Amino acid sequence: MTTTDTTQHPDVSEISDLTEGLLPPSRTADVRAHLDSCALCADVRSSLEEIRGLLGTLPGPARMPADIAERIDAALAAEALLDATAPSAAVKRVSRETVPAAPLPPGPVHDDRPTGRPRATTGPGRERPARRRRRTALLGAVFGAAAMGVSVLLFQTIQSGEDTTGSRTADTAVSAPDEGAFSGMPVEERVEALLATAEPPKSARTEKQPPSVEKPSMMSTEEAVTIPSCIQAGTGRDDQALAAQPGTYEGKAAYLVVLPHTTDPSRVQAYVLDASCATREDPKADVLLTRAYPRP
Amino acid sequence: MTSGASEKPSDQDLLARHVAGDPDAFGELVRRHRDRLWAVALRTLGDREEAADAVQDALVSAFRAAHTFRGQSAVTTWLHRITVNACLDRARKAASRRTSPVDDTERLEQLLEPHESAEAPAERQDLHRELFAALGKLPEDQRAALVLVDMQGYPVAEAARVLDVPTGTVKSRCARGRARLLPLLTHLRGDAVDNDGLDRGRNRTPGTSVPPASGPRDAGPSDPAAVKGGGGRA
Repeated sequence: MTTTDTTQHPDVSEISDLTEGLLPPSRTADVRAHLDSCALCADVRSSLEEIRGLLGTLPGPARMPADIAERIDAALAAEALLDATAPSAAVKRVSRETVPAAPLPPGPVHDDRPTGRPRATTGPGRERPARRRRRTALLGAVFGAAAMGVSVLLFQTIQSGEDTTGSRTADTAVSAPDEGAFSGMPVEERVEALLATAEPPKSARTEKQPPSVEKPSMMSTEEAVTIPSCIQAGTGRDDQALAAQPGTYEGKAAYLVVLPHTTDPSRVQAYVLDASCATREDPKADVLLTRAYPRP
Repeated sequence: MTSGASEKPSDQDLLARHVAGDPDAFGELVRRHRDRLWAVALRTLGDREEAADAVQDALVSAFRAAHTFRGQSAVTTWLHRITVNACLDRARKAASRRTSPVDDTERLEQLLEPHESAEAPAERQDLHRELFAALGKLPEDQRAALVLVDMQGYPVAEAARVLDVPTGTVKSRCARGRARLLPLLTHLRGDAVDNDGLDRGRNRTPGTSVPPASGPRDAGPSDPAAVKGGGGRA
């Protein structure tokens, strides 16, 4: 040990910082001088270099395993199909006619999935968004007209003063020009449809619904709704969403999240949030729209 | 590939075609980059299923958000960023569920090339296992930086773009991560340089020996010092 002076040994992290040129100049000189005279710390430095070299030579996966590549291809194919069949696709995708929805209707696709990616349902939160979208499409296909009838009926009965927009009637609910459309459907109807899939049918609706067709494909109520963390953060709330769905709003990728109303148990609070936060490392999504609606 | 040079559109072309409705463009993009994304995800998460889920989530959101890509970075950077973010999200969730995302031998085996178990010397495999296990205990930020820079060999500037932080931050995360891995190496080398050289307090007298945090694991029979050709290096 030649360090006979009062110089303290630098921290390992400082030696490591030195090798990355992160220390301020004066400290760099001090630590260098110390390393020159202290075998122990010089050894720490060479060990750090060794760590770096070892990490670089660790054997790693050369290729994505075939089963995982297939499962991802299947997920993307399902996504493409949803895009082609979603109402908004007519605007966004010119290829709609060349990718007819008829050969692959939502139902059979749903049935096909187990063979395509048998493990897709095992992970937490796996594939939920896509399934919800598909479910909504199925919902539309199976009892679209009936659902519309029900929702109009409901709005007429419940809307007596509870709707935040006040002036809306059953007729304008169909076009809803004042709040835009989420994936081609007025937000309120989206919320309605989402809650219909997320919750067991309420007594008021049971007579109008064909539960035998719809129920088996429904999300069970105990299945937690998972949404990206930045989307959740965007709502400014941390309680469990009643329902959520990815889609488009004003031409942008967006998330529709339905939470319980903070004060009124008879209503829900719907948020439309900019989905781009998930790809931009933005911790908090922008809220594009928020509205309170009566619970169906 | 065989049908001519014009068959090789750029990544950005492919993404633009995808946005314009070309049903095959995104798949081609995925085929180009999935192996690298997979390597990053697997090494960041240390778990095959988690990594597969993360890459799938990332690619599905890239598929949806393609129209938001503004060309300020390379497409491959953008794909890496989405993937790494998906991994970090999962790693944080995993961290809240258990102490370490990498905590059993079986999971560590997945990280090694299949053929390595047959070819590599036992000591080397042990070393690799120890390294993966130690990586799994690092904070996610440091692990992600080490995966990109030290393991995958991305330039620091590229890693900084992927992680969306300044280059100095990437260097700092790498430096801190390596420093944290150091006790492991010392442990594997045996007692030639004992732990006090590494975990010591600021002014501790050299020679005050601190017992290793963890005893020798499955490295048992072989001489740990042989791993790196003897621990007596100066």
